[in-house]
Amino acid sequence: MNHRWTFVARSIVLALAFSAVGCDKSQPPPPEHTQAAADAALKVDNGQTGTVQASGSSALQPLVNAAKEQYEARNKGVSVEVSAGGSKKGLADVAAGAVQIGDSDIFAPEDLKGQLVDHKVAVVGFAAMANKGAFNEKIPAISLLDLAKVFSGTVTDWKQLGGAPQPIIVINRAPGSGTRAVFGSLVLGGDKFVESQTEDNSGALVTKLKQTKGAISYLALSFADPELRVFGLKTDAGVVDPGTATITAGTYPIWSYEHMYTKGQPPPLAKQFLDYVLSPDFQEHTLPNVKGFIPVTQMKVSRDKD
Amino acid sequence: MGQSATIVDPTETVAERSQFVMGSRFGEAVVRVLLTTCGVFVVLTTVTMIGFLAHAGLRGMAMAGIGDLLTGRVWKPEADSYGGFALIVGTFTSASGALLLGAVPAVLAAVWLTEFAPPSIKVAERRVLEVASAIPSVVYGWLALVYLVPIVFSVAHWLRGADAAVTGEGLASASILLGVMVAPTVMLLSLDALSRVPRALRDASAALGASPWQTAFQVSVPYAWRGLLIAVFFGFARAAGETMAVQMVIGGARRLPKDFLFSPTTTISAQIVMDMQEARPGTLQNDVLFSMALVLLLVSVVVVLATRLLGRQRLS
Repeated sequence: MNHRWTFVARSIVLALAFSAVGCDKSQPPPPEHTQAAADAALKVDNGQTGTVQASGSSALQPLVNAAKEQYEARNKGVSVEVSAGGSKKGLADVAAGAVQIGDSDIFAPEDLKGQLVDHKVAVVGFAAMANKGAFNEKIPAISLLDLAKVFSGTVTDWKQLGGAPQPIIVINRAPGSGTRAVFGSLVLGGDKFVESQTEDNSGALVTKLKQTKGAISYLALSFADPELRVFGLKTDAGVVDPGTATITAGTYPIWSYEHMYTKGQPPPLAKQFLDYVLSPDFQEHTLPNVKGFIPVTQMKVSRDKD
Repeated sequence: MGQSATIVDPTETVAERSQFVMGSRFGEAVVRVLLTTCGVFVVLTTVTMIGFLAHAGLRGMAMAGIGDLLTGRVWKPEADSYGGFALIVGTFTSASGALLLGAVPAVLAAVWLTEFAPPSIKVAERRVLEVASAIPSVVYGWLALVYLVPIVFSVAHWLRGADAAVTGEGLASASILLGVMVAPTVMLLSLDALSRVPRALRDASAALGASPWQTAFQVSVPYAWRGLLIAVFFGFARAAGETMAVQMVIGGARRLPKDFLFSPTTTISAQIVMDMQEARPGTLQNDVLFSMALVLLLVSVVVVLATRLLGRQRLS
């Protein structure tokens, strides 16, 4: 009997070890701070304690985490809990009162607009990105119309865009994704994506794009990568590459606000955190160092829907 | 083996020993109450769970229409379209693939191990199988995503042509992965079934001049066939219910695959995981996901019933 029980015990330990590995959710990469910005930051400790809870967009999470670190360092006793489960979940959570702040890449839908207060904290650009290959090396840019055709499934070969013959494999984000909602609305005029392979996570999508010959998808610019082909837009006035300058000037149209919604006016602690995120200190010193984010204040154009 | 139960401390007096026995009688009563509570609790949990599932699931079926749910071609919860045909086909096809690639070879491997393999390998292989069947599915899925999918992708292009619109994700990857996942369990169950073949039968067969090959396939396998079939059924049920690993390699396209083996599609369980994030309680989407869960449960129930039926026949 001894041996058998020892073996069972060993197996259980082994299984637990494996499941522990399985459960280890990797945290998103920490934002890059500059020491100068941290030093320049104001000290606003006023002895308050409590918890601020935020949930929603995974695209916005790196920025909220950056704000959380600095805010917590300055307000001992206050903790900010950030969880990511998609923009639509963030909107649902804050509307239901489950969290104080709902992070979202998209404007709240009409039925929630009445009860939610919008706080625009940043701007993020999006672009079509593809697997790199000889089949698309002669395509520096794609027009909005052609992008719509690619992602709705009418254009199915790189040849039709001016490249070499190679089938286009569209990879989508999952329907709850804010990136999908924004790209669909700005490029396709709604969720008219062809039904295809789906990744529910931007990081996994990058890996998949690198692996799959002929693949194309859409990502926030923070995920741009030298091993991916990032397409500019072909317009009548020439090629417009996605970037801070073209987005703030309004010439590159595929961008969205990053929203932090509250239900009505935020409670004191959540308001203080939001005030910090919108403060010149954070907006001018920390935010530009978090890859892919643009301060709202730099925008020369604005919009009130996606 | 068995030593610990018979060890007696010689310095212990008879009185001490009897006291221990009396103590254990009281302890026995406590343990019995505890065990009964646990037993009742397990049954209660299961019944409550099935009750909730049936309640929400049947409501979803009534609202979305059971015909649409089972045969409709468009699954798009964000547009309130619930056609589960592709999901159901995906589940059955990938599980059947696992049956073909994993469960059946596992049974044959069990026959080989019982009838032909040297004894030293028997023990070692059993230990390996026990470990393999304890590995969590997310580990299998992650390994498959990183190593299997790229290989299947190359094979797909080799088979269908370099310019074909095929991917590594799809039923081929899912079936191979599920086959690998269910094989250890199926093989362990098969080994148990084959070990119940009386030694006398094998000896008699050998004495009649039958070769090991003849003994295996004309004596052992026919004797154990119900147990082997049960093992295969369990493999199918596990493959049909597997979620995490399949979701990682199936591709997640909510449609019938364009290329039967090498293009993305989905399964019931994978789609439930994808869609539950946005399904708020009380919505139709939430109920419909429970309906699909109910369909999955029915598949398992049918398999378990079939298994029990076979088991009963065996006794009579």
